[in-house]
Amino acid sequence: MLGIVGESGCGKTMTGLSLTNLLPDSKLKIESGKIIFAGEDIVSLDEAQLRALRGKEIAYVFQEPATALNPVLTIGEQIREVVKLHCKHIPKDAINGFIIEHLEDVGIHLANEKLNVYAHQLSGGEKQRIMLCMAVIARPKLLIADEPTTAVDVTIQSQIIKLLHKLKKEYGLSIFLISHNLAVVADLSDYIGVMYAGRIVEFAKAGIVLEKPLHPYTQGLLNCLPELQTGRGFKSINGEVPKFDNLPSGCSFSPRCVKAQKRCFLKMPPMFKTALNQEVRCWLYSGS
Amino acid sequence: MVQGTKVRVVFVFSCTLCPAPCALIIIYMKIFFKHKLALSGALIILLMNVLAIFAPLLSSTHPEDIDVGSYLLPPCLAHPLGTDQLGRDLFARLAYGARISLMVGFIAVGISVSIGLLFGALSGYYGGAVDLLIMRFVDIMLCFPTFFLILAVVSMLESNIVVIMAVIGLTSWMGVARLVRAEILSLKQRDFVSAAKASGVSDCKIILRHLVPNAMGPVFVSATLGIAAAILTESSLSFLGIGIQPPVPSWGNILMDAKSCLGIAWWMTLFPGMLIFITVLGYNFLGEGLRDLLLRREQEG
Repeated sequence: MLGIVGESGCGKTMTGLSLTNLLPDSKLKIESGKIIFAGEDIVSLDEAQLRALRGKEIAYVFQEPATALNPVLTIGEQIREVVKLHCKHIPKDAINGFIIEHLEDVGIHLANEKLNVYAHQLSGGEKQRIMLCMAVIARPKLLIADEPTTAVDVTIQSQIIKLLHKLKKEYGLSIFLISHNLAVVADLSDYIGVMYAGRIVEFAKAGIVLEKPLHPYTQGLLNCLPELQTGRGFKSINGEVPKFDNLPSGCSFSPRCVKAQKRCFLKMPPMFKTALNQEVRCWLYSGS
Repeated sequence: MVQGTKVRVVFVFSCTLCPAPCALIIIYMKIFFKHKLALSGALIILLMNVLAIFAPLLSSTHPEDIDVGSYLLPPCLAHPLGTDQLGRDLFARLAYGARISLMVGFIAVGISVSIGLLFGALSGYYGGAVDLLIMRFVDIMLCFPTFFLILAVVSMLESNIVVIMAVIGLTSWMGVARLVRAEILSLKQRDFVSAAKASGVSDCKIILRHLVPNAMGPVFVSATLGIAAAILTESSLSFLGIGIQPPVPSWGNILMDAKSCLGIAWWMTLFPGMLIFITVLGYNFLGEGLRDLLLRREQEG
């Protein structure tokens, strides 16, 4: 499981969307590079091949469950759409049973009644569970979860996180978790990538990043978490994420960085690898 | 066909409210029944449909039966709305004419809504060159003075009811297309469309299952208002003598017959005129009512 963290506007969602070539505007395109999934380059696939991939191999869960369900279709109709598309081996009369089984799997009570209700009759937590059910019902290999816990309250958050854990184990899922909440990512991920202004600035095993963050931005993010024991309040990183059409020269974090040196403003650093297999994009570690 | 009109009224009710479950439908029904304008509109339409459906039962004679002995009779017991210059019963002609007029209104709007939905959805969903092409085509269509276009087409073709309905439908879809395009433009930004795309649903299914049903509310409003306009157009065409051809009665050609004896037979112009007026008013009231209802739903939702 890979977690991606960063502030709003860092390009986390765009990264997730481009994984299945779903960028929202026809003007946005993947200009260069490759996205390799199961040995195939997704960028080179045509629309029909992509459709076969979406939902079947790579599934997506959106941030806002309230708007991710169609208001004029029942829950059953919407899940059935996915089943009919991607689970062709299920005979027609068994589809309902198949769906109910999966709804119970994601912790929906009275699943057979929930088939005939509309989205607005459900609670936020239930909606997110149903989104997860729709995502995993075709047994995808990869689940992209774009801030799956941001729009639900704290108690539901922990339930959703537990559910993701369970699904990962039972369905053998790989999960690409996007979040701005370090606590959520820390809880779920094996690896963490920290993203800033469209680039990964630090990448390593989850434990290492959390205990020994190297990049000043990661350190800043961790400092933002309030700690109950020490009574230290919120800290923040000054400034804001630069716009993509107006990136600063040199390291894009340099204008906000407390440890910035002269060369930080001149040239974008490459990824440096440290002894612990930790990768970091910062001139401070150019020697290691 | 005329029965369809009646079913349609109920259909409009339930479909504008379609996402709502029973409890909400009852709430909306209550709002609707409090809305005096919409309610009176619905009642008028219901009344007209009853008149059309039960025309053979309500009238004592056939509308095309000529009785030269009793021509130009003012309203009396035997002929409640009087007779025309050929002695035909005016009430029977108006009741049978309601069948034609309502059917033309309903089917013409059916045609225009289907075309408008198709073009609007394609234009809104795909954007870019498709959008540009369709919208410029709409602009061109809007440039024609519609009524004269209809006149020209109908005078070239053999004038029958099918041609009338088709021509009215084919010249009135542009408003619906623009409306649907605007709706789809905003709907396609919503997460549930991305979610459907992300689970591999094809464009065609996204448009038909996810976008169009969500855009239907305003379409029903415009369709209801469109029926009123279509009834008027048909009446005008028939009045000019190139619409529904006599002896088949339609409200428009009854008026045309009345034109020649305007001074001596007031009943022949008053009653068909009032019927057209009231029916069009009814559809407009209902359309306004549905619009209010929709607005309220959007404000609440």
